[in-house]
Amino acid sequence: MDVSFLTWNLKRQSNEKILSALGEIYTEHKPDFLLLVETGVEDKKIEALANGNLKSVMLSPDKSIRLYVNPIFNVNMVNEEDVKDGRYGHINERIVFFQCEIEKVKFVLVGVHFPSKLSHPPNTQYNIMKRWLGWIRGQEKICETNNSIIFGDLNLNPFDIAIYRDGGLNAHPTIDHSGRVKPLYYNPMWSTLGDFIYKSGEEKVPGTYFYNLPIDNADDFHWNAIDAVLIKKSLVKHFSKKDLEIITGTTSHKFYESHKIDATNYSDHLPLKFKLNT
Amino acid sequence: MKNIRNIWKDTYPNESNQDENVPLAILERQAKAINEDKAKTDIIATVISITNSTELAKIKHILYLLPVHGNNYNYRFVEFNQPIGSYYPVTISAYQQGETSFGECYKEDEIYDALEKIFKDKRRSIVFEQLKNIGETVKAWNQEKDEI
Repeated sequence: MDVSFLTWNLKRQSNEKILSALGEIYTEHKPDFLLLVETGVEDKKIEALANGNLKSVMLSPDKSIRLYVNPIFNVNMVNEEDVKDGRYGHINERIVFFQCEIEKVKFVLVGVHFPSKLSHPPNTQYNIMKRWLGWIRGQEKICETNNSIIFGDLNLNPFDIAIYRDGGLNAHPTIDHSGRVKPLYYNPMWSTLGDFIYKSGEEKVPGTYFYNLPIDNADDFHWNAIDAVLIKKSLVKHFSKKDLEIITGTTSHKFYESHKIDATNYSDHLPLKFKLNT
Repeated sequence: MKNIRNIWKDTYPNESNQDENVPLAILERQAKAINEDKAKTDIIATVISITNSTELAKIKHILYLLPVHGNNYNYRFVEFNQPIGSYYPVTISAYQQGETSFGECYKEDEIYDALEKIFKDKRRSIVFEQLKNIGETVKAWNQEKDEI
């Protein structure tokens, strides 16, 4: 069975244009799981544009990270850490956990909006991620599974320490290497870097987010693959490599054109899609 | 022939001789007590221990609260951060908003004092009430699903 997942950081846009774009995205891609980040769109609007084929599984009505799921799947929200943690008061925690079961494959889906690079230096992001990883393990134990998928706006490139280093998510471009550090997650986003498909030469968008870098900034990058999906090693066999896609537009909406993301009419992030075969 | 010594036995004490009042046992006892009140509160508790691969010197014991009907919905209530290899010091934190630190404990009595502060905190009733509401919401959803 093919199950498709789609995420988009809407940057709080809720105008007619973005709603129309979401409707076309639904029609053209038919996601079974739709994770919206930084959204201010009401649940009933999303459910209506999917003709009732997606239902909100959120408990809190004012959460800005929201999951909509095809009701044929057994999905429950199990935790929402969207609170100010007194130990790190300046960080607004944004992590939501869902318990999912698809054809006897059980996993925890972790919806994230990780604290931004703009206000958190790499070592701070690494320390936050260490704490998040503890919570993810806790949710895996409560849900009695070793499987998890981390999905959403990670605000981290594949090579950032919080995502790549052991102690952080330890997510690698392959899980099959024989190095001393064994990967914990598979990060297919490595393959989305660059502006062409290796060997075929076909042009593509170089990431999911463009940062108009200040001239003196020596730490960050213009093109970033910061919206991401990370698959726990034990689930990789279900990940469909050919279906990973950064969506640049629909029939009547162009989110990316002439090497620019249209942040005025839509969002400054591009939607990301992937599939699992169970 | 000389008497051969059993170094293993001298070095590692028998499990049953270990002190019962380790921080984890104290936390598990609180979880058991919360579970005993389940009929009144509609809330259950579980304790989970987690290590981090880069921090093998430390282990975290977390007491999660779950509404009885909440489909595993859970709340990270109390955390003990303990060194591996010794029981103390234990760093205790609880709740997720406002002041979450409940200090560093060097002996059993200090752990009990910290737990007393946590359970007497006015946030406790708010957390229990919210979890109970979530349980009721989920129960209603499940009934709705069953009817469909």
